[in-house]
Amino acid sequence: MLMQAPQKILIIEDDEMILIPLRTILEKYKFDVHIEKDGLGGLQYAQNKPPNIILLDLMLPTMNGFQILEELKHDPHTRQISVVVVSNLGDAASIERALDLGAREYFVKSRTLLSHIVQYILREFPNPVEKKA
Amino acid sequence: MSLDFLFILVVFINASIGLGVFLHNPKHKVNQFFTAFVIFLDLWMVSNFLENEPGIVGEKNLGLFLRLDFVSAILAVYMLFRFCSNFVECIIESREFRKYRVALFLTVIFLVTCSLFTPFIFTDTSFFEGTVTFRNGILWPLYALILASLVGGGLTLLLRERLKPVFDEKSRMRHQQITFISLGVILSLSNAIFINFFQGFYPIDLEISRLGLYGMTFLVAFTAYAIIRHHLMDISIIIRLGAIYALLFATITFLYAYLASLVGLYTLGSLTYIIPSLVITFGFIPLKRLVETLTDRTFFRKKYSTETIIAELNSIIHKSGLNLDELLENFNRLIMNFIRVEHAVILLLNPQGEFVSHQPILANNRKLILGRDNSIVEHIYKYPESIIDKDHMVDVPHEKLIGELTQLGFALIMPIEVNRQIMGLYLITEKKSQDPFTDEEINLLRLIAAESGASIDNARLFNELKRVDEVKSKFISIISHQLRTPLTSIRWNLELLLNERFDKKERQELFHQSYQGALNMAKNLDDLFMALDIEEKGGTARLKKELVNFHELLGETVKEFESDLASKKLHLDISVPDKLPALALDKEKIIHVLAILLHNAIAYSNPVKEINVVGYTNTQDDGIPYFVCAVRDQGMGITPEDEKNIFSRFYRSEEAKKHSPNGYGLGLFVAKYFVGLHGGELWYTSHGPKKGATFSFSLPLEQK
Repeated sequence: MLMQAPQKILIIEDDEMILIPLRTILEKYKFDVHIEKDGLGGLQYAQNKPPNIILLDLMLPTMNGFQILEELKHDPHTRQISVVVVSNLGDAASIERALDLGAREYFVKSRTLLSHIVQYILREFPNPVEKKA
Repeated sequence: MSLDFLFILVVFINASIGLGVFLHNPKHKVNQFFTAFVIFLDLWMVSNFLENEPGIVGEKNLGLFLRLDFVSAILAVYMLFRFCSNFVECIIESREFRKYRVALFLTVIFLVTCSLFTPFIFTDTSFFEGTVTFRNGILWPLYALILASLVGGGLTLLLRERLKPVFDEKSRMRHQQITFISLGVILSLSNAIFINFFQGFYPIDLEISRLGLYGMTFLVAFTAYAIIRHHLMDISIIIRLGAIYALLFATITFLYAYLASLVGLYTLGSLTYIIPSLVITFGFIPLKRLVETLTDRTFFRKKYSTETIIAELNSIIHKSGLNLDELLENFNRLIMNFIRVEHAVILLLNPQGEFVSHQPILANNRKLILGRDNSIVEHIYKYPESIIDKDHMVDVPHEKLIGELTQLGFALIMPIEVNRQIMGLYLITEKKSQDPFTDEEINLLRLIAAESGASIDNARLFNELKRVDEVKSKFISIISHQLRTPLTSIRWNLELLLNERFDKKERQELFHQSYQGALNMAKNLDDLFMALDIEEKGGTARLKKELVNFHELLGETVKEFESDLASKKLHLDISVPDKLPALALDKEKIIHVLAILLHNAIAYSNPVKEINVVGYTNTQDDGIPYFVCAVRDQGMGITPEDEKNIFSRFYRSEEAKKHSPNGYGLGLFVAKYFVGLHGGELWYTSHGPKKGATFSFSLPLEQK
């Protein structure tokens, strides 16, 4: 049996209420979850210890999600990180902008089941741990 | 004979200009002295002419006209001097110099008396070879000295002003005006004085000596040129008045002569003169009106009339309708076009009782605000009928008012009333010609203010409704946005509970989270509806007062924030005296206030800082004791931009948005209202940007 490290997910989200269910379910599926509650902290963490996936909120203290996306996609070190936006902003302009900036997927919180997000992550970024050797 | 005709023409032109200038603005000293000068100048010329005409006045009266010649000469130059000193706003005209002005006036009166009744100035009058001659009296040198000093003094004042550096368009224009007036003074007076002084020593032909005095017309002409060229006084009005009086004079003369000859045909004795005189007397006013209309129609088609203004106003109201911006702009343009002022601004009354310009008109894009305590606003409320006019309120009690007006850069302020309520102010700068406003223009402005008031008010109400509508839209957008987060939280937590398996502890945490989400939604809704209530109805909440131990209340509130404090590693320091009387207050509302202040202090602080809560009691000036609670943070502080809006609903500073993007700017708005309900106040002290702020609220202690 080959033991590989689990997928590392960085959640950049300032709202505790949203964080708790997100984190609970992702940890239940054995992802390696790290949390940053403000924009700048999130970006710095991503630059220092690049995760495999970032779940990114857009309205954030100190630096908003769009700026973070831009920075991440400019930097060769962080360009390959898959960024999935999970935001309250549901207008077409925000969605288009985020996708143009290089977000891999965009979920509007109020229109999305938590299970959809989890299914998406499990499908796109399967955890090696889950595989039977 | 041709020279005699020239003489009458000169006298007449002078008189017309003098009268025109005076009627243009009778209250202005510059105008008063200019007119007095021209009148005495005319008298001077007339008496100078008649003193050499025994055929007209009789030989024994020649001496009298010589005396009048001397009198009007000194009075004319005195008036000229005062005109100059007023024109350049010389210090001589200030209140401290009053006694010197009186002394000068008395000296002139003394010389006038001497000329009239004594032989001290001139004596031994005789008529010799067609010219009146005299010997200089004992006081002649004094007379000559004063005469020369007044002329020289006036001229010096003008030239001194001329030498001052040019610093703006206005002073440049003034320079040119002074150049022309000085030139006129020099040419005409030097001519006249030269001839008058030396005719005693060298015999000069009478006609030539008279020409000397006619030279005064240089002054009148040059001043007139300055007027035409540089709008020293409003030329169109002077021309209009001049034309009217010339026509009137001609018509009356003609009418009188015609009637006299007509009546003379029937030889009715003395009635020959009485009948035409009566006709002229009773016909004068209608005749004058007729002449006025005729001149206006012929020469001044464009001159404003009430009808034109009303037509213009109606067309503006019709065109702009309820569009407040357009309406105000068009009314302003109307004023600027008709009265030719640089600028007109309308201030509208806001619910706080301040008059605020609709558009930003100050430097750095700020709106002009005149608060209740502004002395102009106070005056307007005291005398709502009045107009504050820089040039018509020169008396001492209004000095401060006029000072304030000038500082604002305006020359006239006029209230706009609707149903006897002042709802706005017209602020008008000086006219482009720098002239004072005429009575006619003031009446015109009153008309515009009265007619425009109702339509401005309608548009303003419409705007207000639109604003309320916008507030509601914003409210709805915020509700939908603000309720989403807790709703998502509830949904996701319940979703997990339904679909996944958890142990007991995890399940409890998820239930707790859902519950918290629901509480949060309820709280947000409460806040929003409270804000809407305050916004729409001025707040209808009632207090449920009970006696509360503040320590307990504070402890209860702080408990809610323990996890927030811990996650940001903030230290909370509480210093409230142990022995506090129980406070009578609405516990829920004051907890709400405290929670908002604590929430803000935490949200806008950087990690690892300190937050202080201080409580103390104090006594007001009138002996009423009160309790103060202050929450101090070391966060981002308050910028001057925030200060104006900090208590407005939905306002969030740029810094605040960066720190906590999900807030919605209702906290302080509601908190201030709650504290106000208790009869207390909520205020803040900024310690500078990034140095934190202290928010305090006071509660009056009820005395038993």
